[in-house]
Amino acid sequence: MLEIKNLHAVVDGKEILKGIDLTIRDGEIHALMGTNGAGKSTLSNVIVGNPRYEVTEGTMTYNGQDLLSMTPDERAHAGIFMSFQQPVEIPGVSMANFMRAAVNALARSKGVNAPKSSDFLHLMKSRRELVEIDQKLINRSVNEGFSGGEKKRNEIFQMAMLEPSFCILDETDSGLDVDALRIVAEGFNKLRRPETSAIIITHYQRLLDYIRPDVVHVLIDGTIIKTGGPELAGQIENQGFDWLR
Amino acid sequence: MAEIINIKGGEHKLMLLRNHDADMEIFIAAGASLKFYDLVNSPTERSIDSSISVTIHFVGPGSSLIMRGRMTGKNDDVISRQILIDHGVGECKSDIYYKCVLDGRADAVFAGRVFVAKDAQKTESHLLNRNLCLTKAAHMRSEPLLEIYADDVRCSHGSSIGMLDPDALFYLQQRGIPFAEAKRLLVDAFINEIQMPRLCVR
Repeated sequence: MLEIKNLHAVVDGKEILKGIDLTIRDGEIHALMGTNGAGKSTLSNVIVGNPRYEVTEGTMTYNGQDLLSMTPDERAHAGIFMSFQQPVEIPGVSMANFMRAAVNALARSKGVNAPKSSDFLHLMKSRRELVEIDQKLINRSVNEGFSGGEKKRNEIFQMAMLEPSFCILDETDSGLDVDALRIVAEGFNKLRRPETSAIIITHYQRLLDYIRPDVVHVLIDGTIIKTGGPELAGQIENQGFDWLR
Repeated sequence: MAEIINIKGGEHKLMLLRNHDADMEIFIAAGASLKFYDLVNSPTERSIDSSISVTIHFVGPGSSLIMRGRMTGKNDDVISRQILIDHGVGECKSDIYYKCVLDGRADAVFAGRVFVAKDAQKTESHLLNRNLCLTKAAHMRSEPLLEIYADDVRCSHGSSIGMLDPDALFYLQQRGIPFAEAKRLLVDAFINEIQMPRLCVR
């Protein structure tokens, strides 16, 4: 369970989050909608511990662990994964070495042995097939020369490799065509376990047709101004945000 | 006294593995090719001073030079490279690429100068130096210079000095890779672009 209370955060000296309260129980999918600049990405980045963002007030725990006192890699080991809105290109680091380092670090954190090379390669192959990502992409450096859609698919591939219990999809649907969106969403659904929870940030109903949210929040100007059921997403798609203000 | 080396005919490799001062002057005769490798690996336990001056003269047409430098400095290391490529005759090629990673309070200078004489037509020369400073206390000075008196040449030069990309570091950490390991992956990715021949790797 993720519990956020009265969370305030600043970026470059400007307050972006102005008191967020949010509880997400195991197995729940929460959609987060809102205007550009409302603080949706800031909230995601604060949850995963991006050092660019500074928390000035409030608390944040995941399964009782104090996230604010944990490093980004420790939060990842606790099961939190973020699909980046803008995945970073890392020339010279191969996808295979990157995934190997991530999988081994996760195993170390759990006190189990790192998988054997043959098991690791088998895992790569099966997860690659799940998100229908080309072997050629996996042979390259991390995200280097990937199209926008390929980068998003690669995020879900990494999610499949690491099997997180809490997923943040930060505009994973932007830049995806209809087929790619379906593959990514189906990939997520196949990986989803009963206890998997998620925050899905999106501007569109489309992704939420594949991944049904239990709760929809509207974030405007750093605070959650409305919370409702899945029908709220459709209302926003049709009517925008102005009627909520 | 400078060490003088004459390169005549065929393909040659020269590997510099010394972590100390040296001066070299190399003459490349017509039709010869030289691959020059320059490796500085700072030892962990003490600081080094590696100051090397290399002057390479093309003395006959149709010859070529590939020069690769891979240097890592830390602690109070001092690294200095003064490189002069003298295209005194035409129809020769030179390609110089040095990369340097500096940690701690390391201090390095790369001064590379390509001189193309008035009659050295059809010269091709590319000079590139890229550097990574891991700390604010590390200091790098890069001075690539082209001095061209001929008019039918293809030459380029470039240099960059940067720090590790914080977004890349964070991306790796979000996937569970601890900071120190993430940093090492990025540093290796940077420096491994310069490959030394097997013999050189210690």
